Amino acid sequence: MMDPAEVEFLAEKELVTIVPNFSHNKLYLISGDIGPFNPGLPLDVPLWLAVNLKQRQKCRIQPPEWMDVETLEAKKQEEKDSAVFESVMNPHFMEISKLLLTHAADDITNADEVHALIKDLWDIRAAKLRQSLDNLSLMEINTIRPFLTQALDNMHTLKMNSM
Amino acid sequence: MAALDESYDEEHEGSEDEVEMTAAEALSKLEEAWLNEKFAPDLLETKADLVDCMLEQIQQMEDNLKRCKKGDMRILIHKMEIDRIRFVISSYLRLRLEKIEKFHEEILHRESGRKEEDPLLLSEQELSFAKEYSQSVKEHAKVLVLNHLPQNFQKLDREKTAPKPDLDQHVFLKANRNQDQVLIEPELEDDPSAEVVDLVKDSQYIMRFRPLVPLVTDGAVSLI
Repeated sequence: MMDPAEVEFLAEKELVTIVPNFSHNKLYLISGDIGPFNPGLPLDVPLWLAVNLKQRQKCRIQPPEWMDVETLEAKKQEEKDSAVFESVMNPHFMEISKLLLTHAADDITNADEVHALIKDLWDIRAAKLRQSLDNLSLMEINTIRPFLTQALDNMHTLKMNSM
Repeated sequence: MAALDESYDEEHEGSEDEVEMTAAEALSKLEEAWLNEKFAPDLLETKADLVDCMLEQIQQMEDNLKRCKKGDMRILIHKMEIDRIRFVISSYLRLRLEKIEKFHEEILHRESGRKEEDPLLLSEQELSFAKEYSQSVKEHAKVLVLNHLPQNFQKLDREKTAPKPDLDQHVFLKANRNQDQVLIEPELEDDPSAEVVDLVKDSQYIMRFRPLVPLVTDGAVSLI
């Protein structure tokens, strides 16, 4: 079983765009190069770094395009109208939204509405979980993991015993 | 060796490894091994080479950071990254130790039957841990119970008593490439009604671990 914090840890590798207010040369991280940083010039950095810089008031975060009321409303409608799982904007949409809404709410237009829409989307998908697996995000899989795997384990035992 | 203002990507190329790999690639391979190990009911092949490679990278990075001036903003950022990598390494090693403790008898038995050309199941340190652990458990069982039983009950039969991993557990997986005609009921090999599935790249599935073992080993699927 995976701890939700570990799923969040994986999501923190996703790239987001920030607008730094400082300048610095390229950083040579083990996981790859980042930068250079120039005041006012947007660039992509991993989420963990974006949140840290934001906390230290060294940047503004440009929320991903999908984190917008209109897009999310369309997405929510699409999900509602469909019997299966629609593809999501980003496989880690839930974790990214949570991190950005917690640490950079002031950078997100209509943060409250965005928050409500993301929650609706999550709820609609959670209700569908009893059906198919494609397009599911890791956080979603994690919520049904023990139930689904154990049920199938038991069915396999029953099947083998009846043969 | 390398200074902080050199790319780690270029620097690691040409190491003693057979396959040339950048530090970033090694890291993502290790992260994948971590997740596979986390979700597999059985102990997978050791990826000690990746762990060693990352530890070396961390060591180098820390040496470089020592030479940085106080207040250099790079220190904090590099330290955060190092912490993230350390977390993956320790979680990976801990997961393996947990499985080794649980299945020590079975794993040592498998290790002793391993041929020279087979891939390593345990790292050197894991092997000596498994042996010591197994020795202690046996000693403990002897002193506490077995010595007090009648002579003919004093032996422990590995086949009957040692816990074995349950390969029939179901796991979630994601296909890394298209894979046709995967036999998912190996017990029914000769039966024409045995079920086969075609795995489609990037699709997600849930199925029994047993038939997936070779696919996990060669990276055709990742456990999620």
